[in-house]
Amino acid sequence: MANTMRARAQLGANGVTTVKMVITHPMLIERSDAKTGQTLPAHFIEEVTVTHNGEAVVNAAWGQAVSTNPFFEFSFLGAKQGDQVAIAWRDNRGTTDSAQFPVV
Amino acid sequence: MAVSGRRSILKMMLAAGATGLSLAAGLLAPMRAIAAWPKAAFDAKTPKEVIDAIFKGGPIEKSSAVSIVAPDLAENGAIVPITVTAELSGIESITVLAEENPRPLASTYTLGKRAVLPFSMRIKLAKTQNVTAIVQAQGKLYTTTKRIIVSVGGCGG
Repeated sequence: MANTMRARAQLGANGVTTVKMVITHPMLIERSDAKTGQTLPAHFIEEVTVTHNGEAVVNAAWGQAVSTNPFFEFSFLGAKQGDQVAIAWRDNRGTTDSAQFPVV
Repeated sequence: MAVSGRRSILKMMLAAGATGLSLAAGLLAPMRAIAAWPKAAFDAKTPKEVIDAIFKGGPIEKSSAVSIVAPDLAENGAIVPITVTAELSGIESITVLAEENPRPLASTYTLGKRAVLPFSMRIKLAKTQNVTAIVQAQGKLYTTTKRIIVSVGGCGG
């Protein structure tokens, strides 16, 4: 699967690494088809996990109200330059993707 | 439960630089053991039902230690940037509600020991409403609310 994620993990002052990420995903709410009136099911990311050195940093549970192509920014302690930050997501259809990003 | 087995598999996968589904499965497995996606909370239709589903009636204290940074007026309700920060130690989770959305729970985050705030995200607001953040720190719940005016609702179409 083509990688759906872009992220930057930047080590800053006081040992804090700030991660900014964007995931390409439609994040569609449940809605009615304008022509047929049929209910079109929601299609959205339910879980995002971030891991560093094999330890869970944050686990996000998202609902339909998270915007399309979701942006998420958070920070954590204890990383050094060159470490890998691993991010994985799963949507409500069971689709998943994951990638690793270096701490710069 | 073979926690050590799962953790060593995870380390092997990260070391090998595996990508794609196998890495995703390896990364997601330990998190799933902590907390499955809270369907009842995400399907709840009122803020009270969301709070009951997640926090099971624990007392929530209004606190100026929690802040929501967001525009007073959102031009586009489909993409409203929200930043939650808190002057609290031992933060365990953050929960964000859009009180008058059809389903008020927008997101909930479980923090590992090394995570720090602020957290920023973008959410859809169906109309002008209060956005509420609930932060759990050292077992206690703290909350604040910000009213956001929405020009064009973000849940239509």
